[in-house]
Amino acid sequence: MSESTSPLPHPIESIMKGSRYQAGPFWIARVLSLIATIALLYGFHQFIAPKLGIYDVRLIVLSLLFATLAVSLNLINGITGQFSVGHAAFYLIGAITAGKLSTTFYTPNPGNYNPQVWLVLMIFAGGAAAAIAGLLVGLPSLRLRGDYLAVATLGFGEIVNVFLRNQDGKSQAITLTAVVALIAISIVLYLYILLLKRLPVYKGFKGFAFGMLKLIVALAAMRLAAWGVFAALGPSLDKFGRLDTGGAIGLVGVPKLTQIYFIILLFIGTIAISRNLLKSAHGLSFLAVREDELAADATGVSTTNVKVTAFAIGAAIAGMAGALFAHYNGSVSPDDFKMDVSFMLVAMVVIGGTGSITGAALAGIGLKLLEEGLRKLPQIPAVDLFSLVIAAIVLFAAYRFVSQRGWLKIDGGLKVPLTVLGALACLGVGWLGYLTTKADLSWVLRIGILAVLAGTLIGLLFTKARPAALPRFGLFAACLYVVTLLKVPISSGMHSISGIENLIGKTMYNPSDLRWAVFSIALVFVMILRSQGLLGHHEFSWSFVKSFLGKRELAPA
Amino acid sequence: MDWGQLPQYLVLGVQLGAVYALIALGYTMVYGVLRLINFAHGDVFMIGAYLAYYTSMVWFDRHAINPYLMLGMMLLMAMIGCAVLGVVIERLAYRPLRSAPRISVLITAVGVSLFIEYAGRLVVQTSPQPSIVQEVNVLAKPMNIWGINVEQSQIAVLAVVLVLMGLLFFYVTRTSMGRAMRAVSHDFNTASLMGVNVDRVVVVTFIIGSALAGAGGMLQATSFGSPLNTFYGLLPGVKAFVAAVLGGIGNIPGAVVGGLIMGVAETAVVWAGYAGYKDAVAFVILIVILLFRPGGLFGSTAEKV
Amino acid sequence: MLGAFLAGCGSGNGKDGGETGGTGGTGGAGTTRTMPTAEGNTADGDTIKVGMIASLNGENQPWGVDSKKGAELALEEFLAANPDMKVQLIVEDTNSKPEGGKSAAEKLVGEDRVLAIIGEVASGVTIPAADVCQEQAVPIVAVGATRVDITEKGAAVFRACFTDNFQGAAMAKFAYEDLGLRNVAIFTDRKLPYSTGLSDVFTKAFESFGGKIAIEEFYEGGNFDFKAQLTKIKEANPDGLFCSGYFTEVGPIARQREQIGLNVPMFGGDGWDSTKLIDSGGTGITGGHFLNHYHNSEDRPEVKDFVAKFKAKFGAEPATAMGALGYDAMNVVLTALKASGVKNSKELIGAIQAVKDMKGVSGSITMGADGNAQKPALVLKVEKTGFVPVKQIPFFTFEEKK
Repeated sequence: MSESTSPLPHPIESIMKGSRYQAGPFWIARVLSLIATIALLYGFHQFIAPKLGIYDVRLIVLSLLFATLAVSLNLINGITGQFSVGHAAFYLIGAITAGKLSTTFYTPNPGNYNPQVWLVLMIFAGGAAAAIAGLLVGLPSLRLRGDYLAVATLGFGEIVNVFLRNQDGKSQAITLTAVVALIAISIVLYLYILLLKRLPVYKGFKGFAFGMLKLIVALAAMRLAAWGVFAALGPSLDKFGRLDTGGAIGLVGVPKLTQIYFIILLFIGTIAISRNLLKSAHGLSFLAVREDELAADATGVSTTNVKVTAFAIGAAIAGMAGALFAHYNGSVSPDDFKMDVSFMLVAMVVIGGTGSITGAALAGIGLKLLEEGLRKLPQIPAVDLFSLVIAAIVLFAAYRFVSQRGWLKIDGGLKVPLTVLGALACLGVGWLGYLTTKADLSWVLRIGILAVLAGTLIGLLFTKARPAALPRFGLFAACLYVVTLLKVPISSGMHSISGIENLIGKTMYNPSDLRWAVFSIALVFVMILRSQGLLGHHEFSWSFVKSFLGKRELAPA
Repeated sequence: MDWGQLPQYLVLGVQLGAVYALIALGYTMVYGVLRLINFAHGDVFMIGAYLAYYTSMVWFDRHAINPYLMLGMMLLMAMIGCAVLGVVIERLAYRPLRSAPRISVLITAVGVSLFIEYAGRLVVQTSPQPSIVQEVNVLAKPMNIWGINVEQSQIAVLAVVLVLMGLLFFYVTRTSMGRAMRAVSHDFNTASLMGVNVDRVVVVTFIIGSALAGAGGMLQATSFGSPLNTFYGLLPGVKAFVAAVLGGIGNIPGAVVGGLIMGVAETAVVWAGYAGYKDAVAFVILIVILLFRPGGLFGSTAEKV
Repeated sequence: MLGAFLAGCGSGNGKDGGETGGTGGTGGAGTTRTMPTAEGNTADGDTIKVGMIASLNGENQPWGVDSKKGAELALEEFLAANPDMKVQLIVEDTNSKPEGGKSAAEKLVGEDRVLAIIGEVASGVTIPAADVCQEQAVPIVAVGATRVDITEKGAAVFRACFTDNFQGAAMAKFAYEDLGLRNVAIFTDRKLPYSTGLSDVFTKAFESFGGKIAIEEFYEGGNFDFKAQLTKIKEANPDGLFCSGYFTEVGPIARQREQIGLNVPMFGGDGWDSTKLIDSGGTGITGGHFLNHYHNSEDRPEVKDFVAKFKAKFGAEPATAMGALGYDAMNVVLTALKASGVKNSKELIGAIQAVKDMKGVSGSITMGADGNAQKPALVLKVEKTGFVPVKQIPFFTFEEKK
């Protein structure tokens, strides 16, 4: 139902048409927004930040960092369509590089560096190190697709992790001479390739002189390589010591320089970079690679450049986030950057919607807040939990049974009663459920469920699909209520079976332990029901909200 | 790097590799049929180990039981239990996504894996981490062959793996279901057009693959006596996947050879003195293989990706 | 940028937990420790809140649960004896992870505004928590964290147990004199700060007595296959094996070393303390020795008293030494609270520092200037039926001879 009847697909159209570029208003708007951002951050730093407790600071820092990571991963996974499952490695590389440089060179007050300036330097250092790693990963990706790329990036992540675990300054760590040798070899090779292509000589000279040049360079490189290998394996060349990043325990003693506004700046910057990249002409080539690589290649898009650039930028941002994390946490332990962090990031991107910047950011913030915030909830007795699960399974089975036999007619009869039931159950679920079952969920959770149900109900009132949607919703809410009702007899039944009581009667579950189990189930469900994630390829915008309420069709993206 | 000790390490490597081979067989079969990397396979391996543990605890008190019989019971229970688990996973998580894009299926597999690990942790309660009681492993007596310390259980593990692989090979090449499996792995859609019941084939594949993984779990837990936790299967699972790729994904003897190579490579790294890097070896091999010969050792050199 | 490492001369920088670039202290043992500069928490009203961080889940669960029980028992007794004081214990779970320790401490200090924190049982988990406490001027009394540099962080960090400095040296002495070993192999868990610290001290002490270290091999907590490294150890022909890690791995290590034919006596530190060790170690671990804080069968009246009360309240004797250490740590805080009557956490630091000759279950506790309790250790032997005390080693300070 879009207004234009242009034959061009929407994204291209929106870029090509849109408002005419007028320099004056454009630049005024940009500068003003920049000033506003700085002013806001300054105000935040002066007035709000000192009042925050350390626990709140932790929540804000972690959720923003993970949101930044999710957006940077979205650049690789969502926008360029390369399936990378090793993002935690870039995060780790940035953190370790920045941390190691700080512990080696930075001295606190009076110190030789202004803390903010040093931190910015470290951010760039971390970002640069991670970008190089991103290049290294991006190059093999040229040959691999889909599953294989996923496993290769996973493998790369593990290699980085295992490698850094071993750098403890003792016998298994790499010698510093080897590190220098490797860097020297890479520089030589890079210069070789660079010069070779740039030398005017290349164009003219072929044959003997050129062959000699190549031979000399090759010999020099081999000599360097031999020295490097010998240095790595020979303990007697151990003159400068071995690389020590704290080994498996990790780096400690990193100066805590990070302020929250740095993290907010990085977050905003990442979103800005992603968005600007996406909306620009370069962005189109990224999207093209995602949609159909072969066609993109045939149309003249340099897929190599695109893929490698995506990896490099995504990795660089992750590295910067890592540097900030190192200087917030004071320590960097390789254990906190393992495969499950990578999986969590991929899940954030996918749930938020692959290709959606706001989706990834929101999912990042949301999931991380959930993880940390769940700690506050009281414990749930095991029997209660299991009886809830059993009740839900029983109800689901009953619903399938009933609906397969057509007993509940939604689009036929039974509409009005179900609608009314839905509205009532909305109120009832939160309050009555608590009274009858004493499930003792924290009021946060109860109000949350209530709010979601109420919001959905109100939203449904405005949607075009109202006749069918409301009764369905009523049925759903009624089912929720019945589950809480069913739970009571089931749990008292379980308590009375002595075998079960002995086994798990005293067990209490911490909600934050449950979160992973719930999170993984949610992941599977999202994949099965809506595999493009919550926001799909769209960004979070007014039109999205309106389309959700059924007012307007979203243009395909 | 004591060259005299190398055979000892080789024996250890073969024992480790035999278990990897069992898991790799499951990976390679499922990938061949569904083009899916079943990330949850390593967790099936872990469940097999736990099932073996629980079986041993239940039967252990009755001393009158012949220990070899008990080992057999543990193996059987692990295999059956894991086969059931595999079927359940396939039905609930993978079947609805038969036609979905690959990335979604991969993420679902990851989700299933995480769920088994974390929910399992809640069920089992992490500590104290159980391990199979030593007395169960009656074959732990070491023998000395040509100066190498070899346990009977190491030989037994290798024997079991070879027998299972032989059975599998026989099944795949000589029976009609085996032929159907090969047909489906060759071309899913055409096979279904030819009248092969692809759903059934997929279920059978999962049954066999998961049973093998369960057997691997039982063998590993019994012969190493290591403490079990629900993340036990994560790393071996990924390494076994590398083994499957190394041998040529979809290729059954390749998976076994790949597994053995992986085990030996890992032990060789320790022998060389770089014990800290042994987990990274698997991934280095993976990247090298994917870059230079993605079809694997026994696969075609045609670009498989 | 990696080349910059060259100028930095690699090893050693930043590895000891000293600098945090702020209020953290860097004093070594024996020198005065830095007082934190923050304000600390003040109790509002009459109720004094004391926090506890414990590993109620995860690998350290047996220790964490025991320490919690010990602390609860101590509080119950105290409240019964002092009805006019209102003290409340809030326990947070660390999940046996350093990150968990940090966030649990942050929650207790920031949200619940506790006046003191008790915990933790593991050095790796205690380190980040101690950082938080030192920054926020809340005293922390570690229960079982033995790593030396923990109390060096600053004046707010104390512990109720002995340190690895003592433990490693004591075990080295026992190995050299009582077991007669001269050429020992060490198997360290390099992921565990406790293990690396203990192995370090053991090495220095053993060599200073005249022994030799044949080889040091590493594993990581969570591994299950040690045969390859054990074969390497066997190659080096040692006459003893020192395992400085936790019982979760030492058990399988014992079994596997027997399987590959490495038949040498095994010994270790208080990380072995759990009956699970006997189950998972089987015949491989019987005959091994380890150092612990005390034993339930000791003759001292405090021990008998404690064991009886513990059994009455919880239905069984304490399974690990952490029960008694949790009890003692809690009593340190309660004694300080009662003696000084302060209601502010920063002032409580000074009060805890002043604790002298407190008769704890695990020994008489006097807080040294370095925040460490100076207590003896007990060598236990592992038998099929349980642990048997063999020898008591009185407290001594190990000075490294240069």
